[in-house]
Amino acid sequence: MSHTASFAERATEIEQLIATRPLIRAVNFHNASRAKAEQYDRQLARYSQFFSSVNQNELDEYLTTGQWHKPKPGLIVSIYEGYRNGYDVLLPLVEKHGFIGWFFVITGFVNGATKDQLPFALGHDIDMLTREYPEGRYALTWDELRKLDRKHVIACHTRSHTQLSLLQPASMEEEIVGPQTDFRTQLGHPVRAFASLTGPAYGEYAPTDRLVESAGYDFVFSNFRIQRIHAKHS
Amino acid sequence: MLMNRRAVLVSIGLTAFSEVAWSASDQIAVPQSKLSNDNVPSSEPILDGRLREDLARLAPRAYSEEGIPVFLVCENLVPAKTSQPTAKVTLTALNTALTSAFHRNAEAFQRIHPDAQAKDVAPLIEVLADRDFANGGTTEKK
Repeated sequence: MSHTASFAERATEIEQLIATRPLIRAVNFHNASRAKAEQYDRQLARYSQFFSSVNQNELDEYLTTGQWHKPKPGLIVSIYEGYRNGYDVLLPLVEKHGFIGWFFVITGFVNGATKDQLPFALGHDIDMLTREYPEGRYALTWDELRKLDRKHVIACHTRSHTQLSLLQPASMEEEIVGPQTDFRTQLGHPVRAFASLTGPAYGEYAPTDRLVESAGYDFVFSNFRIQRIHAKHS
Repeated sequence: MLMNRRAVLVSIGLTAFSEVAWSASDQIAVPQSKLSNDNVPSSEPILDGRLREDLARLAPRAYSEEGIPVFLVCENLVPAKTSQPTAKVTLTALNTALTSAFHRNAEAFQRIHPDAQAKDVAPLIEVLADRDFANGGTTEKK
């Protein structure tokens, strides 16, 4: 990762990928403020006219075959970090408009005691522009995640939301393999999708590749890509 | 230079509608259409103006509090890691349209921002996704 790509180099790389690989649309949410609920409602209502939901098996098939079998193209509704308002504000709208939510969870945020969640967020690049919960619980609970897990997708967004390439190996393992332990304990199963803060994509940095493999993730999400790295685990 | 760029787009169009092998080990099926500061066409005022407007319109968004449309490229790396056969994938009109739109707007981006960096590809993708979503899932070639 020592070479820093130029705009032209990165654009050429992305253009080649766009020309030769299947594409999918996604919309990325983070801190879903209740004050903007009507805006999200209108946005998702409009998208539901043109796009279909995507669950993990549908994504797996699309990644495997490149064929999409629903009448409307797929749209992945990604909800990052593990904010409580993903459950309180976004989830009802996602379900109202027939989408599947992909909840990319920072397990350290969720694991924190209520009093620790705001400091954790402020110290780990988790935006808190809007703070709508005066009692201080800003993260999802594991009970909420277990409910989400019945119908939606729970995915990993590391344990501390740090840039993996800056970490020592032990810390890197804590961020990639560690959360999978949290998910196994709390959900009763590992999760299939992994995304880290700003990447890297699989294949861009060998140390993270090895850990992503050993943690058993099937999909790696990064800024421009979704990569299928394992066949579906039973 | 302009002729080279057109040739690239024609080639991409022909390729995108044909079946191509799809795996991590594939050689990219399109000609190298390298973007560089040396071969950016000098001016396309309408294209540049529209891109400039869209970048300015989208820049103030609070990323953490809005739903940001994007495109993601799907890669199946499993065949390259195992002995599984590589799937044959029919690429779509979206590949063709987005490739063309991306190429032209990447050139425009470099004209607008000659000092653009690799990280600036992200806002460019977001502009193209925003247009596509606003058009109900239709990407224009420019």
